[in-house]
Amino acid sequence: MEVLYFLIPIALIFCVVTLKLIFWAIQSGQYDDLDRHANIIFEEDQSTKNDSHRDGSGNE
Amino acid sequence: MCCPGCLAVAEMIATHGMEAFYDRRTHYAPPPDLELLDSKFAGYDDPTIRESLINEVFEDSERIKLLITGMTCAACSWLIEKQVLQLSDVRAALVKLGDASLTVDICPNAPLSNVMRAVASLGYEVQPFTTSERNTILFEENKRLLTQLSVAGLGMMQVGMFAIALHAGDIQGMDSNYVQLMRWVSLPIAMFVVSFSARDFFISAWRHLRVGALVMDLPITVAIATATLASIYATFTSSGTVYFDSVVMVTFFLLIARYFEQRNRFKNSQLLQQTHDNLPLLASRIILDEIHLVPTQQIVANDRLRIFHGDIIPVDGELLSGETEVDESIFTGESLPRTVRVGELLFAGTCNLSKSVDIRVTNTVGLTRFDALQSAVASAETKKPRIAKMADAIASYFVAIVLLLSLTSGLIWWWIDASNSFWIALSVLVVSCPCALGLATPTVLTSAASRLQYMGGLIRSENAMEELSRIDYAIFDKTGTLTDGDFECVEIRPTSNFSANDCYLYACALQKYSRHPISSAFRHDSGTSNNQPTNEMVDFIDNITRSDDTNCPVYVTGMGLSFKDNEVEYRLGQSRFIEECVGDVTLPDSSMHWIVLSRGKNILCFFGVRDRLRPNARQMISYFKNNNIKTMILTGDSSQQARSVVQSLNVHSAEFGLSPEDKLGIVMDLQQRGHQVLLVGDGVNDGPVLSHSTVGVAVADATDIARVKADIVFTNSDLLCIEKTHRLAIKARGKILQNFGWAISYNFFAIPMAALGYVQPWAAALGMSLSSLVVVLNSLRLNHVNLENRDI
Repeated sequence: MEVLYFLIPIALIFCVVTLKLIFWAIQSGQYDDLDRHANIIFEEDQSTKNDSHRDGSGNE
Repeated sequence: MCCPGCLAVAEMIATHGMEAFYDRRTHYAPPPDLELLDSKFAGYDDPTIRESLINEVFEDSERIKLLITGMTCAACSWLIEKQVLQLSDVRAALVKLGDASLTVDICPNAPLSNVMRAVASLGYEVQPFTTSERNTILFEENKRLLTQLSVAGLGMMQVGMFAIALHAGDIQGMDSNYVQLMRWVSLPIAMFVVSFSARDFFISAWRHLRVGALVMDLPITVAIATATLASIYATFTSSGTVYFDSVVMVTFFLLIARYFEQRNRFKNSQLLQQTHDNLPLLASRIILDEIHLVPTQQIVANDRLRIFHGDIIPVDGELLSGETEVDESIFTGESLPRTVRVGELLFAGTCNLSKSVDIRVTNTVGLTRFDALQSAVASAETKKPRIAKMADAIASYFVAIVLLLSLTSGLIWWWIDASNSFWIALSVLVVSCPCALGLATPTVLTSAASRLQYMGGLIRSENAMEELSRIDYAIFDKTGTLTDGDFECVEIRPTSNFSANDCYLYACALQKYSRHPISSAFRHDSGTSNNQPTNEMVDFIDNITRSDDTNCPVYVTGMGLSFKDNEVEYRLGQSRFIEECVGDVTLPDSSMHWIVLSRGKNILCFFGVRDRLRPNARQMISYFKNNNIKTMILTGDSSQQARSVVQSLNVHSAEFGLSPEDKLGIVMDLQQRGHQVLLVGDGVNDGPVLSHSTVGVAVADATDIARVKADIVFTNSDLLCIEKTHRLAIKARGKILQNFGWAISYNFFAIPMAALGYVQPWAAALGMSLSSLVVVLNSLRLNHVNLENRDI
């Protein structure tokens, strides 16, 4: 059972990493709009249009 | 296709390959009045106004945030983005449902009105986004709570893992060095969770304690703090039991409840933000015969303004020339417009219906009658009795009793067996942890709120549901609440050899030239008749449709329509208008509003017109009557036809011609006699009374002031929702009582057991958590109760 002295700290390190990730996700606003993203997978994406505008190459 | 607007949108959607919208939309948006909006949007192209809206400036674009009202689901946000991106000036567009905003990156100097028009053409309302301070705070608080919740959640999993090992060790036996290992690992995690996530409970308990108030947060704090301290003590001395798992679990469950409550509040504040005065931001000022669009703030007294027909009047003013009709229903509840003549006052917030006129400004922004009414509402709001105080008082008794019990059992055991006394006192505190009691009400209310949201309702006041279940008086406003603002033709009495159907169709053809609200009673599709006219009548109607600008029907303000067809004059309108041609007119009776059709010197037909009731208005009234709730109608309308509408609804009592103050007086009087009053209203004139009634409900299309003052706001127009909400409220009350019953009987049973030393501390924590879980699950069942009418 000595392995516990080794495994528990590893579990704690994972826990800290997960927390960091969650903090980052919350702070970057990923949870600001919970309704929209549930549906985003349905959008057969045309974000190319969005990108083309971004680099200023005009419309379609 | 219901209207040309929809057709245009449908075509646009189809031509741009956006048919997917129809697969995914979940709500219908009301059709927009584009013509009216165009002129409004043009104002935002004004360089100085546009400048003030820019958030950020980039190399080749400027970022502007707009507030969109009417978005209901993800399909809306998708559609808006796609539509706006079609514009060549737009570099990027992002819709956020969370705060109902559209952020566009637009080329410098490109007209903003194009973007707004594009959004409006889809049927959404759009205006510049202004962030309120309160909202930013709520937004930040939401993030913070979410962080606390995730820390507590993760901590709970970790500590729970070790706790299972410890509990298993209690049963099977475990080496003491491993027990200590588990404890020493749990300690920092639990400490972190307590200091990070449970901080708010400590702060709140302390803040209340300082002013001598005992709140639910206090025993939570005491339990968490003592359990933590005791566990730390046990860890350091390798004795007793640790409660790290119950500490983090309590924190996590309480935070979950708090988070949902907070989210609900956040949504409500969004709604508040979405409501805005319908007052225009720009007005047309006339200087030396030239029209300048200026922001309304810059208008000063004695300015000359042009008010176009269909416009909302921006400030109070005196009519300078001509005459017009204004829709003042937001003040008076009268569904018929008032005719205004030179020298008479027009009020901000009312709508100019018939002609473009000029006014001289008398009261500027902030000083208008509209503003005065709003501040009257603000003062009425503070007088509202809050039931929350009573709940707090009960809670504080419970808190005091639990603290006392825990202390007493500790002291008694100190006497009997000092080594056990601390653990038993703690067991009592943990087992009776008021979670179940604390959660009993909020979980039910949250559950009810989410159920209500599916029906298109939003709860603005936390006590609304509880209060709604106890009402014994239901009071309704008439115009706009029970009726939908349109008119219907309920009776046709022809007095010549033309049939009723022919007369009706002829009136329909004539009324197309009128902007008077009554013309809504004469529509081919409004139900009274759908037959084809007889051949003779077809010719007459053709004469109207063939008429050009020089000889088309003329609308006489406040009177009616007249049309000259081959030297024979047809008139349709008020009896006094017909009298000019015919001589004396005797109306059939005075039960409703009569519109007369005449030809030359003969009367052809009488049309009985009255407010059109919303569908289900009757059913809703009879529901309340069946449930022994007194029904009452209070309206500002004093006309005969209002009485006839009210009579047809068969309510217990009704009052007519009331001012907002009168309404308030009646409601306050009822409340003083101990009645709980539900008030359903929609207009500005309902504002004070909505905020003062026990429960105020604002129905669809309600003015913003009504929405802000109501406890429950509906965004759809189905009156049955009010009936369903009342049923939901009663069910919710039942659930709250069940929860309390459970929590109290649990405590009644568990506390003595713990005090007698029969409950191991870990079992106490488990029992406490399970009892909270029972409460939460019971509350969630509210989402599935049947709200349909079972009597039918």
